[in-house]
Amino acid sequence: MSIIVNNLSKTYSDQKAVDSISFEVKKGEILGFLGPNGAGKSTTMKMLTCYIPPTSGNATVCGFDITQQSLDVRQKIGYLPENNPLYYDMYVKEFLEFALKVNGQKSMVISNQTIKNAIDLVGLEVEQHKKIRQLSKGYKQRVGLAQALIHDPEILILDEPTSGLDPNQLADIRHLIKELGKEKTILFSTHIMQEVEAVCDNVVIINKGKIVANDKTSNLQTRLAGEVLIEVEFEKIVSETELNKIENIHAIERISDTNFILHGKESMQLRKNIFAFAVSKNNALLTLKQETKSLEDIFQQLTMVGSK
Amino acid sequence: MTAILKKEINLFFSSLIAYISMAVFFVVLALNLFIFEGNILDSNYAALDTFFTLAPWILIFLIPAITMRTFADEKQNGTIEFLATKPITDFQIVIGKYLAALILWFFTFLPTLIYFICVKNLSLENAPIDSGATIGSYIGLFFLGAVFVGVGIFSSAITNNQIVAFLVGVFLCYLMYDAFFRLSSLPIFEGRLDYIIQSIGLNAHYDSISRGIVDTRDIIYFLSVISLFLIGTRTALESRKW
Repeated sequence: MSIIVNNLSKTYSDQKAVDSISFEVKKGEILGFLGPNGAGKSTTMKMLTCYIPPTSGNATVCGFDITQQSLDVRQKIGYLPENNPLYYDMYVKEFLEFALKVNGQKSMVISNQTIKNAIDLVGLEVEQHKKIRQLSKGYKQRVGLAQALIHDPEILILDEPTSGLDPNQLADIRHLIKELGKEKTILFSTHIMQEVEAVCDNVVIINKGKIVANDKTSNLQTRLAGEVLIEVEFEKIVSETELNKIENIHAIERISDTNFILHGKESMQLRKNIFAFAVSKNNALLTLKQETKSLEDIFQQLTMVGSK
Repeated sequence: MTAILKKEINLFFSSLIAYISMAVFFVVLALNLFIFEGNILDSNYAALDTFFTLAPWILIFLIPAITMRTFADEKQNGTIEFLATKPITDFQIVIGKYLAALILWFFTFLPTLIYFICVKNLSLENAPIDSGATIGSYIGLFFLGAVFVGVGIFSSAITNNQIVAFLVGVFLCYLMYDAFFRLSSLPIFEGRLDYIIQSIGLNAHYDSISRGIVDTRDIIYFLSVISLFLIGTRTALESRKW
């Protein structure tokens, strides 16, 4: 196990930012840490990177305790903090060299090759001679990523690495994270669902400081999709009371007099029932389409329940 | 630590901060020493008293201006999170930044030795400058500046606003330098307490070294005050963990 989090809590004055969460990240795994804004994602990451201590509970990173062996932990991780703080007055290479040095590399052994490799990896070649201040947001983000991985850490902790990027940059950074995930353990937070679907092996969804789901990305999609949505369109007008008589239906969304979205279970039987219903009413069934729930819906479902 | 030291020095010398602070200190004091009313040429005494009385007052403003951004800026920009999550201790960060500012102070201080050389060469053979006392004063001034650097860094660590850091720095420097001295001369402390209060302040120790006797007690005093403020700075940094 690369990261083991055990009943970790953080309380700010009277507000519980993180409420007794536990999860594990295996070596070489990409874990998506997902939640709405203010759910406690950044706080958790700040605790794991030893920036702030937990109020209670504990966690280990590569076997080192985050409160007792903080320096060892910090040696093992590469961290991209939220909002990507950088020294804007420095040149890209100067900053990366500085990042290497504060990670404990002696200046004699720092080779230009290490810096060049990091620059190539994140795709900063064209901008490498500029001051960080002069870079666009996407390139600043790449500099942030480069500093996180320049010392070749075992674990990368990335706090919203894709926030504020345009769609092309998003795709680039996601691709990069996925590539990095082949060799490293990555914990990254986001509030964008597609990102998790695209990149992560596992997902932890957190809301109001509590974990509401912790599963494989693929499992989560099927597990929570026990309820099926079926979009139907009839030729003639149908009343909702009539539809309600169909077995296995427990909710109806009316779109128009002839179009409905039916919520139910046991997809196969339900679709047969709907067909039989249409036949019995002598009403042609123009559309019968099963919708798979996206992670987005699951996310909403999970996080909305908590806020009610 | 050396990485941070180097980064801070680069920042001072790649921006105008270093050059301006050196120029301001040198020019203002040269004007007062050689040109303005009451200058050394009119007074007919080969002594740098004007310089050593005025310099601390300029430093009270100059050094907090140099140090105000050291931590306030990092806190404001969030880069402190970058530093604090690297495998270095908070104390290494503090020492690195302190030494960088100290080196800048040293280079600001260095050109003023020219005054000494000038006056030494200008003085008559039968009334030479008191080299011992002057060198003592220079040592005293350097330590005074070193304490102010510590105070300035501490002020910068307790806020994320540079202007607040500057004002607090000026206030604390004034307090350390002059306020204790003034306080001790109040009638209510007459008797035993006045000496103690006076020796808390920097002024008494600065004057003591200026007489040309480098007393270990004074040196220990300066070093302890510096350590105190550096420990305070680390505590201020660690306050995020409370």
